[in-house]
Amino acid sequence: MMKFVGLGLGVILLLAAMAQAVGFGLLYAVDETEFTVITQFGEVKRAETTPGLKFKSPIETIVRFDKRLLRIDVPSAGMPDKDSQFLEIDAYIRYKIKSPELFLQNLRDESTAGLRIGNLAISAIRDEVGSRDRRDIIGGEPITLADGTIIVNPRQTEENVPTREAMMQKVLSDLRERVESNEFGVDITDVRIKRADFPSATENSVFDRMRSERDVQAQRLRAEGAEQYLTITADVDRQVRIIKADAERDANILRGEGEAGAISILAEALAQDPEFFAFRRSLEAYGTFLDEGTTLVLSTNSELFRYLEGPNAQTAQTE
Amino acid sequence: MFEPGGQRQQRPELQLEEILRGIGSGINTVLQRLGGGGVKLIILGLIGLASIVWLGSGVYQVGPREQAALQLFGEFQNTEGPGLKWYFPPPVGKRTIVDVGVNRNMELGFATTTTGATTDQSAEALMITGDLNIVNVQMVVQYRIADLEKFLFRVDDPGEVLRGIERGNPEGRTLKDATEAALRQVVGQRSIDDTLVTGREQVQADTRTLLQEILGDYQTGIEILNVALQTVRPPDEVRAAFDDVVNARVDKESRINEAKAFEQDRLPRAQGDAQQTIQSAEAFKAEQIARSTGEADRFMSVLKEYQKSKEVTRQRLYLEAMEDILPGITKFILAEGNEGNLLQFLPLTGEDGATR
Repeated sequence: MMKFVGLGLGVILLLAAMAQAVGFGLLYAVDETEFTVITQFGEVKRAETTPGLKFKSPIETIVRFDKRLLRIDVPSAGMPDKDSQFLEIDAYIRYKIKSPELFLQNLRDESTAGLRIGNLAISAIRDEVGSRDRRDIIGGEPITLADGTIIVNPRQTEENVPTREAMMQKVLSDLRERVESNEFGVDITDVRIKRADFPSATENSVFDRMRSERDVQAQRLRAEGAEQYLTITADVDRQVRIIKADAERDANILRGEGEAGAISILAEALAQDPEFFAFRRSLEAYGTFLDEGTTLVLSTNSELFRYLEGPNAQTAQTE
Repeated sequence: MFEPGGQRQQRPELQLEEILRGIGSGINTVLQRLGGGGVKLIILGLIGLASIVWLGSGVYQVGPREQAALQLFGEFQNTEGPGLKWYFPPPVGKRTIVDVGVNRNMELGFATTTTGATTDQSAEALMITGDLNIVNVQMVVQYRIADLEKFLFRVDDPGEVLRGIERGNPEGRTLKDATEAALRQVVGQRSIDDTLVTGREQVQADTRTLLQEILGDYQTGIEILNVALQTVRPPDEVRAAFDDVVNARVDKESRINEAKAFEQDRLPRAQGDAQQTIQSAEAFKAEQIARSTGEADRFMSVLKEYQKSKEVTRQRLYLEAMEDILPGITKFILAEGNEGNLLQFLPLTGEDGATR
């Protein structure tokens, strides 16, 4: 118990002493996110690159710098490409302070760094945009297919790197070179084109183009609809006519067979006794064509009246 | 407690014990000057009390989904998980407690206000596709903090007021910049039709991969969980033209369907008609055959009987037929030998005055 109190007391006393030291300007803390540069009468003495509690002499002053990945917003600017067509390029830079001493000497603070590195980046990007065409920058390779539809493949360099990626790599190495030669004491981690847009002045003509492309597409679709409609219905008409004609042909064949069959069957029977057939058929025919309007002149001589004049006529007549 | 690191060459040698001894003797001198034991005890008691209060303020709690990042004199030490913990209170220690369990969302191209309404952020949403069209893309990025040390200490960020993200937090511009760059690069490699309709899944997957790569390079400690496209549409200025293409596609389909309906209607009917024609011909054929067979059979039957007694049958048939025929018709019966005078009768008789 006494030992714990003693330890606590010791700690407190130590802290009190340290507070004293901080008060005299002997001790200071460096945050995890910081570098410090220690100067004496404006002259850079050394840099502290690790966090924790640090000593210095009371006459030294400290300048704190951010150790984290810093960001510069490159102001959006219209830049002409290889074909003098403008694109609005919006980019950003990520960098780290590599040497706080150089950074302090040549750039002083982050806002100056933002301006100077930003300007270098703009010119590096401008150079790169100016040496490429719009498709490289956007990154797509449009291909028009036979049926008029447009597909897009990623545009790549010979090493199969997307062109936009390759372009940003180039800007990055350019910018690194320029920053190196200026001894800014920074390390550029990334330069990235965030947006590449049509300038607002040309937006309307882009919209016009989009509209006309769509109109063509709509028209083509409707025409295709008409084409399919006509193709199918014409085919149906053809089939219907063929079906009808086939049926008529078959029907006539059948009728013919029927008639032929009937004739041959009858003829075969009738041929057994043509005279008898003629006799019967005649009687039948008389019945049909002799109707009430007919006047028939008959002679008593006729077979019908053989017995009209006497019962014995039969013998006289019969021979 | 704060062991000097190996790389700190420029720092003067620190002799802890010497300093402690020095401080102890200094305080003793002060106390002795102040005089008697009572005062000495009171002062020691006060210092002890203050130290207990100060040390007590080092107790803190980490919630179930939270993590605490601990710094000693600014230097990161370690992270602590959930529970009741103690760490050096300020100004010696610093603890930053962050909710790392929650999945966070970032909206791109639109913003949801506190009332739940959404507003378009067209500067973010409008981008160029690979076929040089402009498309309006809204997206939600879901992420979480995977590495608290990196998240807190590796990346500076201007913050984003609109989303309530403070300075120094990589969830702000860092995440948004990277998301915009990744999405635009991915969309730039595709056609507008791909982006609008068919390629959504692929756009999401590619954007996620690229975004995670960028954030990893920056050491943000952020892990992307999901990238979800929301509304993807053509800009308002050309909306009508795009809608018309959709309509045209529908028109095309309906024309084709009309034609198919026509086909479905006409072909079976034609087949039916054809069957009817054929069946009726079949019927005709069967009829003809049947009738003639009947007639032939009848004739044969009659003929058979007739042949048995030809003369009688012939007479009978003849007389029967006459019996049937003659009753209804006008007849003139002339005596034998008068046939030549037939003409003189004819004009004198009308239809009714016939001799019977």
